[in-house]
Amino acid sequence: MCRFRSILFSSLVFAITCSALRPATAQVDTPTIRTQNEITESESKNLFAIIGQVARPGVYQAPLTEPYLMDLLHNAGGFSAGANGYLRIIRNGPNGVQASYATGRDFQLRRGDVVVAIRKTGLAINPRSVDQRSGISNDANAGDESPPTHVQLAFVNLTDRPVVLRMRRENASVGRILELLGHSPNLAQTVRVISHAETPHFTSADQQLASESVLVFDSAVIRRDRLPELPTEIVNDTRKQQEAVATVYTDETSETPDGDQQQFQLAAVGDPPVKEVPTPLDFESSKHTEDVKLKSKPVSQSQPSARNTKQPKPIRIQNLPAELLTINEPLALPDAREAEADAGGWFSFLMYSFLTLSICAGAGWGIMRFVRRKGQPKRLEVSSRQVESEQPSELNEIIYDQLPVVEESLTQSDRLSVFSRTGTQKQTRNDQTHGVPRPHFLPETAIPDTVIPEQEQPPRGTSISAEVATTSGGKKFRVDAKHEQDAARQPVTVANHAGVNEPQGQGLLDRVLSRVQGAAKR
Amino acid sequence: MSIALDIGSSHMRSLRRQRFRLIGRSCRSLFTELADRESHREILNRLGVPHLEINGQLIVPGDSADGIAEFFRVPTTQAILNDRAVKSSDVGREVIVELVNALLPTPGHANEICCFTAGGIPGDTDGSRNEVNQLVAQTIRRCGYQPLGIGGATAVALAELGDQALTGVGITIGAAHCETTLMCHGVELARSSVARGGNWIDEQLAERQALHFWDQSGNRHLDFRSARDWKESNVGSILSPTSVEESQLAALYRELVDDVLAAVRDAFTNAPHAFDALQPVGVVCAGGTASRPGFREIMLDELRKNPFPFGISPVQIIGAWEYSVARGCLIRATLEEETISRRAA
Repeated sequence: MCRFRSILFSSLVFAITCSALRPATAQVDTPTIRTQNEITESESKNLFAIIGQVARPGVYQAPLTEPYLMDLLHNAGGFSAGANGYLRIIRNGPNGVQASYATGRDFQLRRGDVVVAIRKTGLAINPRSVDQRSGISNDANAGDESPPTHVQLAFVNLTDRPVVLRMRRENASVGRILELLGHSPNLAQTVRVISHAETPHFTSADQQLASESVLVFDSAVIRRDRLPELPTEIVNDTRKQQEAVATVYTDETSETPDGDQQQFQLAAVGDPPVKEVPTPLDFESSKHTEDVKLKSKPVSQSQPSARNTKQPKPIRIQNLPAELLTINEPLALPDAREAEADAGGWFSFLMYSFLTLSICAGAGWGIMRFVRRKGQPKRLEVSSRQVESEQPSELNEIIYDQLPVVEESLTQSDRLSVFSRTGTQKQTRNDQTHGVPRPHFLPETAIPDTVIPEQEQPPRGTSISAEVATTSGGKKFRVDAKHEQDAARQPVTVANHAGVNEPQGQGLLDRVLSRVQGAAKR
Repeated sequence: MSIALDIGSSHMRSLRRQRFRLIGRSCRSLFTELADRESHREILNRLGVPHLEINGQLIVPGDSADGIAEFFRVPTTQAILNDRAVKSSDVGREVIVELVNALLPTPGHANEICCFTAGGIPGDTDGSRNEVNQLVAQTIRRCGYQPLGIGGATAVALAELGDQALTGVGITIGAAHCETTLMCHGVELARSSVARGGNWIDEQLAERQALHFWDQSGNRHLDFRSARDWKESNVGSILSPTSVEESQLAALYRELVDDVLAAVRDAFTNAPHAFDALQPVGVVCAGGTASRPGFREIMLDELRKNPFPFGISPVQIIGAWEYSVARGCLIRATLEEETISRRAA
């Protein structure tokens, strides 16, 4: 037995250790999210957007299975310091479902969902306090007096996927955005705005939008052929994507020495994202993730052949106004996790090792406990199982209304007599021959002894059955001295001339009734 | 085992589990007052009607009150009105205490959970913020149970949304007030209450149709009972009224539904924790007033005009609503007991 235990424990430890020593990238993959290489073109629309107070806002892609909210939040780097812990989800625009979500529960997202991590009340996004990695404000700098110059926005129904961007505040009006998208500002009336803690509403074309607003376009009005070319391709390999992005940005910058693009290029290679003259629309989310990588591994050193890399095709940003340069491309969920794992390095390896050892110890303890319990008497085991199996089913029976409801007559408390007078049966009862019907309620608790006034007691010798005495309130009512109490409860029967036993001392009607019943029985 | 207590303004009910069935007790939560005369007492005694003697009045509580009131031509009084025990005197309070005592059997063990409907105030789990809740909680404690208060609509949601992961909207259209709750995975997120219900409809009907009666002292009273009898006897749909009275009734129902839904929208919009379910959620509606033919269509019509801020699946009117609230309370009590026993283990 001891040998078996040691073999079992050793094999378990070996298996878990082996799995723990696998590359960190494999550890962070979840069953619902596959690697980039597995994503096919047909799945490219399984996109989700997250903006607001998260580390890496942007558009994320998941393979066939729809991820859970916590997965998306996790891949977006979790809440930033300025988050209040609530998430707002916009699905299908204002005609669909919107909801706020408090952390602590998880549920499955649906394709095209836009998640907004709501910021703390009174916290303004300040571009000067933008985190280099995430591009959003830090809580420590939240109190800066300088007004925020950039806002985060998400677009729904503009294309077949949500779009997330960051733009300068002065350009953040519905009319200006429509203009940049090649549409008339007059269409502002068709664009609903969902901003923080507000119901969907229309705004005027010139009204400045709050940060983290979601613009829901009317897909019937938007002409997609007029839109600038939006990034639609899914880059399947993270490393190649980095190379390509770096290449393209460098190339484009070198080809078109536009001031705004120069700003963008600087942001892409990791310089502070906002300079003195930033672009009206700024790069958001996924780029910032890549920014970190580019910062840690300079393009020229870590990727020497990056400029020559031609596939996969990077995001094309042709025909795009300079202000709209910053519309981001989808970022696949595994990339974000991989990025996290890489960033962890040795520290994450040590953490995983420690975790693995803890799991091993726990598993070993559990196995020992299980084996010990098996050796205990069978009776205890059965009873504990019964308790475990019965409790949930009992509750389910009530929840699913599987038990019949049986109405019980009301039990009137005997405390009622505290307030009412005790029944004066003697005064109202004229017929001394027949039994008094029992009251319609029965006291459950013991009837307290009642002091009967002397004048209310019937004279000795009068025939009041024990039944009457019992119902009248207690033993002290018993005044029938001729019969024993138990005997008085049994009806005394005498045989009549027909040989049928009939109760003695009952009225004519009762006797007739009993005879009829007796005849019926026979 | 735990027990549930539904403290309604028209009925009080208790429900408990006994092996493979649920045992329910029910009584009307009203009373009638008679002058303390020898003749009255004698009649009550002969009829075997339990009664109280308070401040020179004979008080008949519970189910017998209606019959006695009709017999003596005196009005009946609700024990609970707008979440308050009627009258500041002891009468209403004593009636509530007596009825609760009658509904609760002897507890099986110490600190058995008794989950009761705490009307009016959200989160009044210990019954400390409302007069009736406080009284009921005290009485429950005196009976040997441990009180736990939840809203009536929450109880309905617990009872009827079991197949929807306890997520959705529960509405109770009661006699004195209507309650609504938005529940997510068994947790109440928002709650609203309107101090109108079936009694308000009766009152308006009696007023509009000038239904009165005079008591033995010659005082005139609104005849709610006749209005209610007419309303209950007229079982046609309120969607297609055929007379002036039926039109009045339909208008009153529509007004009531409108008020309830307006309160619901306000509550849901201003809820500190809004909703996290993205699929269309179920809406269950229980109560005597809601079981009238045509009520569902009126509610759907009003919802179409002013929708909730989230998607809903078709409204479900609970047919056997009598013990629906009590069953929800029983579920809550059972869950609480399970939690306690798990903690103890």
